[in-house]
Amino acid sequence: MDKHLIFYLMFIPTVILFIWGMSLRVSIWLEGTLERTENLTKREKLKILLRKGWMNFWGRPVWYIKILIIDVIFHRKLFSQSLFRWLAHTLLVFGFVATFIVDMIKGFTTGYLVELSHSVPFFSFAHAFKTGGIRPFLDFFLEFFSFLILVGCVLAMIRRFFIRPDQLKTEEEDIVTLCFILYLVLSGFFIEGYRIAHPEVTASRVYMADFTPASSNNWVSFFGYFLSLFLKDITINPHFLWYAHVIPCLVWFVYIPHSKLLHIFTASMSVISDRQKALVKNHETSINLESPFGSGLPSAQPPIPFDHGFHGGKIKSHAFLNKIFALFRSLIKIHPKYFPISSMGKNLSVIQLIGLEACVRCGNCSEQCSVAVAFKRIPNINILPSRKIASIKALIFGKALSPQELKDIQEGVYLCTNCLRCTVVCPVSINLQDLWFTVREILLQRGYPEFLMLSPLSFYRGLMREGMFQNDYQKPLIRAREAIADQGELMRTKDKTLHLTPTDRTFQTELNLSVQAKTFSVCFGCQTCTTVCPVVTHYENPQEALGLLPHQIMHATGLGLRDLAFGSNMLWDCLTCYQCQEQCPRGVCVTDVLYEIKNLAIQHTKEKMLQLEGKR
Amino acid sequence: MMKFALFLGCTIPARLKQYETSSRAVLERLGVELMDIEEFNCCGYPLRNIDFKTYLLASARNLALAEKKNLNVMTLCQCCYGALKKADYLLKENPSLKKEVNAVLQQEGVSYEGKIEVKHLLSVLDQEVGVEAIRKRIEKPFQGLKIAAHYGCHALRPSQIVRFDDPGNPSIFERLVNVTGAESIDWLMRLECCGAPLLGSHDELSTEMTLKKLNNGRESGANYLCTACTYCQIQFDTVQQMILSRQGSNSPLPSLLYPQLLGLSMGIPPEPLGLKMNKIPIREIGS
Repeated sequence: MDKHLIFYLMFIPTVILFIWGMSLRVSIWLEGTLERTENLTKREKLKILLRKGWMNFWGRPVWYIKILIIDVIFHRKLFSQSLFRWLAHTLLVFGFVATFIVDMIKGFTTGYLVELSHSVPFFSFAHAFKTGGIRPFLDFFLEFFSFLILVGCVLAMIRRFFIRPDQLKTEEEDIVTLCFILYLVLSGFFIEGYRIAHPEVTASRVYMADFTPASSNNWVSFFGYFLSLFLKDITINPHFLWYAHVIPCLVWFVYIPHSKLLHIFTASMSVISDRQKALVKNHETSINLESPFGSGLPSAQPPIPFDHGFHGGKIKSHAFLNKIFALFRSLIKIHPKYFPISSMGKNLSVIQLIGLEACVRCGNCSEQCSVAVAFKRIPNINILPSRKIASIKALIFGKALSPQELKDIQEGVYLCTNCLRCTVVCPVSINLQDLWFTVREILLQRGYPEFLMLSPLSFYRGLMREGMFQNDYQKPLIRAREAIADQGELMRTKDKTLHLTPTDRTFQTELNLSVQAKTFSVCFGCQTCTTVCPVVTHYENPQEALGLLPHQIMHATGLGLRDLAFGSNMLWDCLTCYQCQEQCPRGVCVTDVLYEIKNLAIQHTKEKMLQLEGKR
Repeated sequence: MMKFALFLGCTIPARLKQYETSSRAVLERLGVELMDIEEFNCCGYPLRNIDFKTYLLASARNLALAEKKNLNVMTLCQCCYGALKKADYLLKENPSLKKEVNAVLQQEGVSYEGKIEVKHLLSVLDQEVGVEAIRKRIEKPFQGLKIAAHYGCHALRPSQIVRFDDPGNPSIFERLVNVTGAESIDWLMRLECCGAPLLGSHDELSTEMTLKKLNNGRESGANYLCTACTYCQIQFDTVQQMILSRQGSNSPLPSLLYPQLLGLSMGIPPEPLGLKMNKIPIREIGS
């Protein structure tokens, strides 16, 4: 059978599968929120996005093309970050794009135009491409650009498998993708070498077009020629060689929407959307350009309520596909990030969902994270941004997570100073900080208390309060305080006889982190700390609002009354202004003692809650 | 040549860039060289409520990185200053704590031996540069401008550890304000907290504290408030604006960062001073 026919018989289904895969992804992204499109169907959202994108493009086409060339294809950001990575990436991108273009020109001219020139003389210039002076150039550039892919691929492999920088975490998908590319390039060169070594193969037209380099006997086809030197004495079925190259090429094409290679599209969208936002921000008044994805501020919409199991949010119309896909997945182990998107994912915006898929786990964010150092003390991997995004992906794309995993993600997204570093260094410009903020608000609505809220880490949340719902804002804060106060039995029993000798000596001994915390014991109850406290003086009835006052907390600590100390609002309403400590005539480090009691209260509450959960 | 590792912390690059640009502009003219250490992380301050040792580790890592380059640290934010000072003090005072922290830091090949000093912008200007040297650089002294200098808690207290100034009767900030030609007013609440530490965890209390101070400043006749701390400035600028817009009120007491004030009097152009980036507009200052 003619190779053309066979090729198209395989190529057309490939394109269909590719489009199917892409539309699957797009339909997942459209589950996300889009400003001012509440209650719209996915189709309507897509229409809006396409229309806005189209209009924006024609509003300033030069700007868009510039961004596409400089920031997407040339990847300026990566260039400024790491020359090695940029080189590997650019060789791959440029190699693929250029090879594709030259190959198209070659196929089109030497195949179709030469054919056509028999009836339309105008096209006779195509002969120059087939046999004339242009041919060697075509051959050379095709060879050269393919070789760039090979070099880029080898560089990327060296980095991932030999240099192995700490920030990089290699997953199956990364290995599969790299090996795939390596195989495609090498098998292509192998065929070329074989054709040069065995001219009879070309003569019998085993391959589609007259693709064998006219100049095959010299170094224009340098790598193929080099290989041909070793292939003279080997005979392989040329048909087999063709299939061994073409079929994987087509499979690779189908694989794109399901692999990290999807970032070709998602990262481009992420970068363009980011530049758009910067443009709008820098020229707020003069430019009438609206990002199709919205303003980029954390969503002010009320979260869509979701079930506690997360993974229950199946999309109905995909139920059948889900089953097929589960089978498919179990067979070839495609990365399990597919169906169904959890109802939680519907709280993220479209661009956030796209951003999740633009991440290629390069690890820049974790390397630059301002609080990554905390991971050395707190064993929660979700403190590291690159791992947060992996966990969020799992969460959004419907993986069933244990309560502990959910707690860890919640803590991870809250242990963040919102310093914007992750977002700034992300080579594909995902707005990570915005993502953490959105995800943590959604997780907080689950109802599990987050004690990190009771720290200055909440400062940013306070600044972002406008536009958030009052209830959503206050509830998690109250919940965290209550969870701590609830642990103390004494707080609930009003009339209890207190013993003057310490009832719980362990409390005192646990305040052992710094020497300063020990100073509570020299307190003689003069109440200076309470008198100078700006928080105490703020209230008409301070005890009602704050529970124990500073001097009482010192005293309660001396008496071992853990519950009373833990249950006092005074702990969390302390401004840490150090007035009390400064004024204390006895040298009690009141603020430092309060700090340590706060640490202890949180630690104890966490332990108790774990015990309770264990019993259940 | 005075040389410091500039510690910016998390919030300045993300939300208060004008503090960095104005400080750099001012210090450059005063002959203070600033070095940037990209590996610096969070000062640890926000973590103190949660876990003492995590705070200490974060803080100590910064100190160790600066020590490795043999540079003293200068902070702009007073909360960073307080956190780093405290860590420095604890590590010098407590050998077993130092050993524990260094054991973790050594995984990265650094450790802290306590050979450097942590300074705040104001103390550098006052003690290293000196008021007289600054005075020589003043080109456009203010006239009739009344400034309420806000000290900020974490620079001033606990005095035993930070050793910034006399905690009961400090004078450094007034001295530095007066050198610009402006008049630093005496006001009752100058040493009180701005309220920022509770923003986000108890907003009502936090903003009440802020309003009290602002009212006291206004009643004492100040045209502007002046700060030298990231959190205080955001509280008096961004948060004040939030409160005012909620109340529909329109009589703010705008707040300036000290290097902005100093920069204006030194004749530095408005661009690096970033006056436009303040949320509450600064108008007609110095006229």
